[in-house]
Amino acid sequence: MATKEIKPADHWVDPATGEFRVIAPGQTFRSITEKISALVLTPHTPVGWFGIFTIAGAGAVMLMVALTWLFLKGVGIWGITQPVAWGFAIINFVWWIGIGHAGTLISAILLLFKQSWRNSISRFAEAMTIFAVICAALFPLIHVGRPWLGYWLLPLPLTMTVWPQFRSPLMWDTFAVSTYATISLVFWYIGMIPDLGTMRDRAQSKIAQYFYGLLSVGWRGSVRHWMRYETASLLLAGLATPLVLSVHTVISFDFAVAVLPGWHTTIFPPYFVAGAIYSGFAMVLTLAIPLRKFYHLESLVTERHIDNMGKIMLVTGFIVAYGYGMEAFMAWYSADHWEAFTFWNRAFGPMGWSYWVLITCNLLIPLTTLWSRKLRTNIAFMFVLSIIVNTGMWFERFVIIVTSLTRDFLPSSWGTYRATKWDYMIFSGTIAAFVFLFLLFVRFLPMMPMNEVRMLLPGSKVRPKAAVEAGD
Amino acid sequence: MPAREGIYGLLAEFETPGDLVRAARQAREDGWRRMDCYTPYPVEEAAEAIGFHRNKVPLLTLIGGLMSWRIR
Repeated sequence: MATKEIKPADHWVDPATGEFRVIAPGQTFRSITEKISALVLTPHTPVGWFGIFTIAGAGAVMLMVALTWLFLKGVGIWGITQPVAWGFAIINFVWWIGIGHAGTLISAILLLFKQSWRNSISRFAEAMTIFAVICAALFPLIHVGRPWLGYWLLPLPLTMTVWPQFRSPLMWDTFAVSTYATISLVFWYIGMIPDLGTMRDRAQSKIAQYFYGLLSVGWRGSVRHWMRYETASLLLAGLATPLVLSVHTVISFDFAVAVLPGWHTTIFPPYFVAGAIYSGFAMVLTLAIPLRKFYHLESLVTERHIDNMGKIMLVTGFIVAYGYGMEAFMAWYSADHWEAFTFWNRAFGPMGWSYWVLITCNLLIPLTTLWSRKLRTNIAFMFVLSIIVNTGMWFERFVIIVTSLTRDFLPSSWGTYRATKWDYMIFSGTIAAFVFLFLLFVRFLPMMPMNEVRMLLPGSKVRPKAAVEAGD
Repeated sequence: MPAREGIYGLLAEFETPGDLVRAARQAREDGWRRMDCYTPYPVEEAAEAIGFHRNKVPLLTLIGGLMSWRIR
């Protein structure tokens, strides 16, 4: 990276170490704790919070209405038909679950790599993961048509006397997603225990003291507690790390295992994982940028974070670009008539516009601009870019699912796909429900890990052993 | 319960983690054993200074993993 040639602004560099600062100078242990805990413990909820909460709540109600109608009428109210039997539900499922991956990458992989800049963004990124997985998990459940039989997805031999089809990748999805949801939730909660202890100690009202006290399970901040906490964090990170790669791999099998041209490719697993992380970091930016502005957290979520996330998006964006390129190459190199036709149909067929939306949003705009440090630290630009990438990643799934299904081997079975208003209501409803849950999280739980942000302060380090033994 | 005579224990507060670790290490060298350190974030050196090197979390995790395998 060109970090050495470019002279960064003075406030970026810590004069003592010559390293880039992760948080703005002038912070103390007290100021960090007060800043983060006061956001939750204040009795004055910001008016803006209520405003967005109302809108998101209305959207969540719309989701409930749409779901109720869906349960009454069946999946026929959607645009799915023959040959496109998988429509918005699967597109949204893959999109949401992909978004979750950035949170796990931040909390697990960056922890193991000792990337301490992750400390101030890890908590809300993990919350994003959990809420994204909730939105994702909704779609397979409602897509089965008879959601009250959703438990059939689980292998329950005692009551069922029949087993699910273990050779089906949809069965593997059930395991992948349920494992992922479990570990994300456990990791999020365990990581929050020390902060819940701080909240318990600082809370004024009896109710807050009671609930934070209950949730903090007797946390006292003893070094023995801390060592157990650290061990548990590392173990959970070790368990979650393979999931960052495996969950979207399994989801790509939904397509790669099928024989349909455009789906039956070996590039899908790595390309899906990279795409998941790409869209996930875009979503972290979409959340972090308004959050730091609204709650005045610019000193804790700094340009350094935005810049680093931009770099990760650049790398994963190029892996995604390689995936697109390889699809095009294989369409030619395989000398397979149907494969070549599917690629041509994606780019120039009746739904070709969606392919060019995806190329523009995922490749042309981000991969040309993210090279520039100036643009990576331009907050407004990064916010717009994050929305563009999220849009592009949604269209990626649209292209993969819809264009492959509309025109398969037999021209007599070709068809088209048109989403109905119920499709749009349910999709936008999950976005609203996601925002709704995220706002509740921001209001009632510390959105940044206070204990980890404290460790970013220079005063948190124990001096080297030699200096300690030599006395002052 | 009636108040017990004598001293229960001693509390000391330190400004920096370095001071805490040095004091804990000295106290252990002087033969004190029933000690604890309280910090607002993990200080590994302090845990080692009071002789807390290992914990049972990995073992419990392993047992938990093996049990889930057994149940299935």
